[in-house]
Amino acid sequence: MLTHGTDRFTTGRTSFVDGPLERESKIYIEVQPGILDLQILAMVDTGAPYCIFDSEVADLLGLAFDPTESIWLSTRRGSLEGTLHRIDIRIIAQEGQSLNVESTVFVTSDWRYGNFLGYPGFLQRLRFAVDPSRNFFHFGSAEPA
Amino acid sequence: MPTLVEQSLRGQEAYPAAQPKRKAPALFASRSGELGSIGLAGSQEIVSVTSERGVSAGVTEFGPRPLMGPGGSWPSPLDCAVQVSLGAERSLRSTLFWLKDTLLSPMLGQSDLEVRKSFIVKQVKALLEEGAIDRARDLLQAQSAAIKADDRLSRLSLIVKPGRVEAHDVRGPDRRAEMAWIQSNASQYKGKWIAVLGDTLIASGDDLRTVIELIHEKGPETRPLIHHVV
Repeated sequence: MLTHGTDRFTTGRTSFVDGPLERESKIYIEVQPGILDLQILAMVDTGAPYCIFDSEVADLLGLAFDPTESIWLSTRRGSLEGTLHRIDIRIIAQEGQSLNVESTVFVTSDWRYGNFLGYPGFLQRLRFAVDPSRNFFHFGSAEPA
Repeated sequence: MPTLVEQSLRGQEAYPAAQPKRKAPALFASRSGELGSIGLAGSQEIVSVTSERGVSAGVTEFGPRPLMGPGGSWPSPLDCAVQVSLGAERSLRSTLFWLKDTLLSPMLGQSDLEVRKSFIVKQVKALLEEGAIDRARDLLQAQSAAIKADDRLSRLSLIVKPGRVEAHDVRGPDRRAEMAWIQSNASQYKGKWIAVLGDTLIASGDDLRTVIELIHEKGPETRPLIHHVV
């Protein structure tokens, strides 16, 4: 695991895929959303405020779009109306410890554009580092030990 | 004599004759406080609430700028036609919230506390739309207990509270083979859900439930890695 001086910086490590899934290289890591026994790839997206899952995943998680409690979010697919929810998302470690992160998820109707891990709603709670030479994604809690 | 709202809904000019000519009114507020259809009338930044007594309040793109009417009081009767000529959708939306919560609601008889709660809800949502979770949390924490007790604000407080992070001594399988397969082959499955185990595709389909059923039929000992190729 990575250290910073004498402190532990990360506590887990996983692999990532970085294209050519799309025209631009993106980092996809393995996560387990909520209570589902599913291991799916989600894109690390520091430009997104919240996590977004495909509507089929959100349905399985029981997360519903509630138009009475909605906000609007600007996405690469345009401005969308949706509802914020809280769920645990687990980053699955291949070495070290996995991490359960209580995350903020934006649920909108009919999202079919993949799974995303946003910054304030998820990544901001982590320390992470990318090793592009070996496709390793190192991670740990940003909270003081 | 039709009210201003009725005139407006027929697409007629709602401004008093003394006002400069503008395009048709874009937004209407009725006695029930519901905001009606929206159509931008140009690129000007001024929003004004117009009553039969003339302009009573206005806001700019950058926040409220009260323009009290004659006598310094809010207009009566309650019918108001709200003309909107903002160019930016985001500013327009926040402006409408401000108009409804701070100007129209008091005229419609809502209590100050209800108006305040509604205003805070809208402010928190506006911050969440910008991804400003920390600022939304600070705003909620600064409110009185009476306001925090509101159901909508309680729910928003849960959404913005600092997220718990816990490490677990759980490890998944080495996924390098799955990821290498996906990297090399996923482009052939655009639009599909795929499930990969080792260097083998074990299921694919147009929807996730189909893929999950196929996985269950095969019953692999290790969970496959699932990906939606977009």
